[in-house]
Amino acid sequence: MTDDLLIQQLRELRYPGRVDVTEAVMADVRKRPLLVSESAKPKWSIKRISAVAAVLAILLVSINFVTIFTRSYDSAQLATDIASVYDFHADYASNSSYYESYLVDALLN
Amino acid sequence: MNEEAVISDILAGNVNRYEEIVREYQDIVANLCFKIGGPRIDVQEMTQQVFVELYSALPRFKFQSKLSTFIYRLTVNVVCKEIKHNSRWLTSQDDPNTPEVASDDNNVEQAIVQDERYRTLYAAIGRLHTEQRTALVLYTFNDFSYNDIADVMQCTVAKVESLIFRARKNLKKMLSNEV
Repeated sequence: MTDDLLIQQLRELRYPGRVDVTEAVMADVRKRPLLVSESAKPKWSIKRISAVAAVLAILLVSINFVTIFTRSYDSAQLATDIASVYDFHADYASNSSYYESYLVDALLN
Repeated sequence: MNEEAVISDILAGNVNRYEEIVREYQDIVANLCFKIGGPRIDVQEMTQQVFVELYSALPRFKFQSKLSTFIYRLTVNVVCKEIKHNSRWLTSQDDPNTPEVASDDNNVEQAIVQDERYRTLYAAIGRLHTEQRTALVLYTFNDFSYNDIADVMQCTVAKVESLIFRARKNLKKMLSNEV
């Protein structure tokens, strides 16, 4: 069988019966209220708002953690901490050259 | 029929105008159900279901495609869902949807031979994979282009080409085995 013949035969296939579903369909749809406007539906549902709020909260907490974490390694803060251990003023400790020479001296002696 | 005006009226609450859409498309939908759904599908029931679902889906129709394309897509979805749901699909020689071909030929003997040929063809398309059958039926239906079929089946044109190629090949193979 050629392709053309096959396609032609497929085209000629018809449903043997008569179909009239108008009455049945109309009876059914009259009972159904049509949800007319999709745009009338609120786009920001409570579920959606909650999800966005949760993401924002997580982001805020993460940013705070990062800030706290980096701050704890802040050099000035570190110098203050060391200064409190070695009992001299943080201003001196934050001066790196002085601090370095102090450490060298401490190591050599 | 001015489809846009009819749909706007329906959405505005004039449900009675939906009848115009049903009358316009019911034969086409029934034929599509018959060809894609195959012997075990109740065409009348399926057509009714398509129009009930279409009514609920009307607010989603934004006139970005033709209404006919929207209806065909819905029909394909409804029928494919039914096929998946109802695994007792497949051919039977004495099923209620015996195919019929419009013919002017009065020769009874020829008509019987013709009828038998179409029964065989109908049984063979029933054995095709659902996607292949859908693509092939749409291809032979209302002179759909590959783009239209891809739009209805919501897949790529390349996939449609491949499905039709395989469907034709399988169908020819099945029919040559029948002879």
